Amino acid sequence: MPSAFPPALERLIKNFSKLPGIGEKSATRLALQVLRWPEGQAAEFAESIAVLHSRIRLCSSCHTFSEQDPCPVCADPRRDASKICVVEDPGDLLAMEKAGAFNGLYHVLHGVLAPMDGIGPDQLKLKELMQRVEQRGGEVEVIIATSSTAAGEATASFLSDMLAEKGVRTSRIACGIPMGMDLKYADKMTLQRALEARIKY
Amino acid sequence: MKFIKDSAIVVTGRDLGESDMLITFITREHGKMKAVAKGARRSRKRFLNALEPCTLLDFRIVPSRSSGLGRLDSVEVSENYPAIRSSAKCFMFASLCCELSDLWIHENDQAPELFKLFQWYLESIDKNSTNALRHTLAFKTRLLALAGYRQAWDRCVICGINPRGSKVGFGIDQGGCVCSSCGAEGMLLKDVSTGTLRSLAYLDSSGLPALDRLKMTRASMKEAWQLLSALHRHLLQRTPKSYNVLDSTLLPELNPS
Ligand SMILES: [Zn+2]
Ligand SMILES: [Zn+2]
Repeated sequence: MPSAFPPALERLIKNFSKLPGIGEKSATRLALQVLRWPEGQAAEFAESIAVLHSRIRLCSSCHTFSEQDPCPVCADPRRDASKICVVEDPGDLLAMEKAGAFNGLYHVLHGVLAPMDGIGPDQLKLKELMQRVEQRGGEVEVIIATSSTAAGEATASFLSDMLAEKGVRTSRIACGIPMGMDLKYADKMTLQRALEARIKY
Repeated sequence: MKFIKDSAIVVTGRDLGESDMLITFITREHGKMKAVAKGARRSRKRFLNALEPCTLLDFRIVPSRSSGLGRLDSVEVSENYPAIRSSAKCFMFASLCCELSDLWIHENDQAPELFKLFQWYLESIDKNSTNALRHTLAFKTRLLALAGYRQAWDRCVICGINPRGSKVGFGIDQGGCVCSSCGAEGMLLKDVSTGTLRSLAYLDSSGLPALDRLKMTRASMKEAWQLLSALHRHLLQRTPKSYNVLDSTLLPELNPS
């Protein structure tokens, strides 16, 4: 079926719809919005995408996206280098930083175990983590902060086995009742986990 | 409204459009089924952690009025096998079994035996992870039989006699071992241990509770794993992605130390 849109607009719609969570309808809406912008604004938008790959690389220490290497967190001497918090992706690192609750360093795995998608230990930044730990002579605590999904839990278990073999101090962030949640609405697994992770008053 | 109600095991979940997920189930009475979980990605509240692979649940699906996909109306988790997710190895084995079930069974094909096998498998490795490899081998062996490809493990597929000696050829095209006097054309694995083949025959047909009595060496488990993988790859005409992951993590562990 021939498209009702001119080819240039069709091209942008196609590109927008490659983004996660964007279907054809939303892609069309976004593309039309860009078309309505003044030309300068659209050019700035295009340029921001164009330079992305040349400017941003992975921090060679924690593997988050950064314009500098090492990234600002790794380069900050005030951060506590004896704690490394392992997260799934740079978005999780950002969430932790926004919360401002952690003063150590990070390590980004870039995914979790997902055999059905062909992602195993070799596809994650695990070797790189072990190297970092070894560089510190094992004098470090690794805090595993992967999600509490099945894949996140399995990845945490893989990691903790690997670290235990090297005698590295390892902990897992707690999992249980979210703040402000009524206990009645928690499911069985959440309640079980919350009880297991209870702390002493 | 008329609902489809059944018990099922979630085998895969894929993103669909902007906020939905497409879930594939192996059900007790309706074979393999797919259904759309509306809004499952936008709000985690509605289905919570129920739609993760290897979850046993009861569902209610609103069938589509055309012949398209039904819509998941409600789910209630019966079991989510917490020990599987807290062992990376069990998680990877179970992921392979999910992928294989999805690939082997066509949509709406009746699969009551697979549902039973799968439920037993998840329960058993959740309870005791030390037998996970053996039970995964049993799952892979029995899945072939359920899909209509039961192999002649310990009798020559051509003449029917038990092969003599410690090694025998295995005809991938023929679907069984081939004794030296028969010989086979096509894809033949040479020098497969007859001990391994006897173990596979046992994994295929013993009662499930008796599986743990089987003694297998690491070398034999490795050989069985590789033979089953070759059969799955050949018959499916593709390599399940989980195999790439498991072959690189599991097989080195089974090498003689
Ligand atoms: Zn860094
Ligand atoms: Zn023969």
